[in-house]
Amino acid sequence: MQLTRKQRRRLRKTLLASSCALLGVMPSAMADKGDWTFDTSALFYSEVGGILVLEPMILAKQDRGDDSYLTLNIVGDVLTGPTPTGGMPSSKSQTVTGPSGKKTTAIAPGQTPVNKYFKDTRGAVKATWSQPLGDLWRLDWGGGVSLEDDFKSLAANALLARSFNEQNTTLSGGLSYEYDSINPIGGVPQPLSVVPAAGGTSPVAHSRSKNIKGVLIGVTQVMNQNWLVQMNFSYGASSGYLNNYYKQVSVIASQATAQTALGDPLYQIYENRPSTRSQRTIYLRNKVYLDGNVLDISYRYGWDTWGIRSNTLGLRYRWALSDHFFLEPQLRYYRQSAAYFYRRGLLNSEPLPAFVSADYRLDAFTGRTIGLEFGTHVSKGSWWPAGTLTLRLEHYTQTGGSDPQVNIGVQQNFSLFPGLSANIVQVDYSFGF
Amino acid sequence: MPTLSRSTIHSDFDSNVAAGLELGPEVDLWRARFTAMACPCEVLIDTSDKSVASNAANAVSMEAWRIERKFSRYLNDNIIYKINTAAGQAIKVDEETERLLDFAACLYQTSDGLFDITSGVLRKVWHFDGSDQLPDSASVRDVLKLVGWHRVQWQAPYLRMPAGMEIDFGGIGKEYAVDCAAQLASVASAVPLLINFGGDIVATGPRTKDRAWKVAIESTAQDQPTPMVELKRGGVTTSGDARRFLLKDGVRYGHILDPRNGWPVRDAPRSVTVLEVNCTQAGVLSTLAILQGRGAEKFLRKHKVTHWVSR
Repeated sequence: MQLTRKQRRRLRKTLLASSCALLGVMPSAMADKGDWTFDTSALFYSEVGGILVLEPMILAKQDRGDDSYLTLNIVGDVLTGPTPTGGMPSSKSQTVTGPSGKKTTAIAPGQTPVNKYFKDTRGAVKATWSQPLGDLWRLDWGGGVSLEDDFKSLAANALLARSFNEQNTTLSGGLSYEYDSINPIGGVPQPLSVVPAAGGTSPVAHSRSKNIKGVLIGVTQVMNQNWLVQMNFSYGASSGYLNNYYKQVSVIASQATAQTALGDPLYQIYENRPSTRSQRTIYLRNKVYLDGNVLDISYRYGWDTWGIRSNTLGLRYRWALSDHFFLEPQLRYYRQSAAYFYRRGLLNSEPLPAFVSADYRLDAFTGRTIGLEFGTHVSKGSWWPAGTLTLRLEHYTQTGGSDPQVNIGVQQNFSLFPGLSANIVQVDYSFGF
Repeated sequence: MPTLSRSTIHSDFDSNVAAGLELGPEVDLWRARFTAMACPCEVLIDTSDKSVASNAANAVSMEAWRIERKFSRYLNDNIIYKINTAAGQAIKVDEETERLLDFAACLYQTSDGLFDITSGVLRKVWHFDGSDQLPDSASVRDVLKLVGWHRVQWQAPYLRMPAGMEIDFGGIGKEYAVDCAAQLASVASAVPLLINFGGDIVATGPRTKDRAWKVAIESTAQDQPTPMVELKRGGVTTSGDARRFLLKDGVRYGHILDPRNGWPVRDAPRSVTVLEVNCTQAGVLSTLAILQGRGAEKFLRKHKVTHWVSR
């Protein structure tokens, strides 16, 4: 009777499962002190004609004994490809100058202005410590650092949970704080000022900052052995520099002149957003176990002081084809209204508003995601540990948007709200030692 | 399997135990004493209420006596007797015996044959009386033919064993009884208990004000201080050969036998104490550690077991 190396290593766990079966009790979370589990993944996000994102991630969790865990999360991001500046198409050629003022992109007549040389890399590390406080309480606290070419972020959070009703009910409350410093290449442009045609800016500062304070209140309720309900309310208050310094707004001709056709952009200005925003979200999730399969239905309603109201409906069904293989179809429907200061563009005849942005993410739109996830257990190989391999494929489409005020003259010939479609592929391998 | 004696573990009380159940008040708890499974048994009940203490102590002692009666190999009217005298016939066992046999099968498998409930017949040739009477190799070889769980056909609920073989739950029975008694008493009342059956100990929960139970481990080394274990919940057991051995030509043969060759394990520690989530689990790990001989400490470290070893 020879045991495999893994079985030998797992001796204590095997014995525990076995002694608990003997005593007719559930195995308690055994202090397998020092054991690490890993979740590694790579995500590819590719917009049709747009940006490409590559995001590798490692999540490592260590059992520190006594039901305490240390979790480390390391994420990298590389983002490249053309991104819309927010500007409107023109009947003439346009030139988009990058923030550095060096690289320019020529935009053909009728095309949406994009910055072809947009590139950003991000690295983030997050650590969370989770421990029980007595039999009924649990505390999670942690912090993180995120670095980008033009952005630094520090965050801290704490979450306290208490279980009631023989652990069938868990109430949790959390606080979070994030401090971000934004250091645009070429400096912070003056909001609402005209973007210089030759590129470069006359910066008003080297950097700006913002902070985000968050509160979370949640309840998780075990309804019966096959049904779990989760409800969350979250509040987030951002204040400081909330602009995206890359984003511009076109000012178009409200009357035809000898040089300019009706509707053609005359110049662009830098966007300006209010310096505070508070967001509230209600989240409701149902997880139902149906004969080995899992149905997951979630709904989120969000509203904020910028006037964006959003509804998200999510549906997932994990279908266990065998002990070792599952399929999970996923559907997501998202719809939001526009921020009150969103404009596709401005007319040169109208007074300059205090706040304006042409960022399509602040516009009204509908997003639809259809996805499929496959998962399979993988046996130990010559150089890889046993684990679970999952592959997720998603297709996302975004449509919507309107701004009748600027849909004049030549603009009527152009596609002002092209929408977007993207494909997402994620490969994930989770394993333990 | 090798029959192991436990060194005495005591919680600062003497081991002079009366027969039957005896209940007495302590400073801030009640203590009950009785004898079961040929060893002194004690229950500490963290309450000032005598009737609560009495109920808990009764539940614990009744369970100890029930398990002793059902699984003792010294009685001739229980399931163990029936199995050991079946002479090759299949015996149908009840649900509790079935669980114990499943557990024994798992132990045999995970321990690579080191933990074997059929090894008791080795006692026929080994008499650990402190003398120099070693058995000869031929008689050990002969009796080894009757040892080995792999010779047993176990297809729950039926067990069939070649004639002459015997099973013995001695290596897990006392720990199992401790855990069962703890469960039973916990169902009856939420009062925290410390149960000690001859050195196999379990605490059902922390004492009032979240205080730990203090358990002293009797060290076999005279010059070493007695280690104290602080225990809030879980099991503590000690395996060792402190008192039972043979001595020949200056070689000390401990009473821990390796069921694979029928000889005592060489270089086994004098005692190994293990702290685990339950008493059964602790007992198995302390026994397995002893069976590793020289490698006991390495085994315990490798499996991240909380332990104390005395050599």
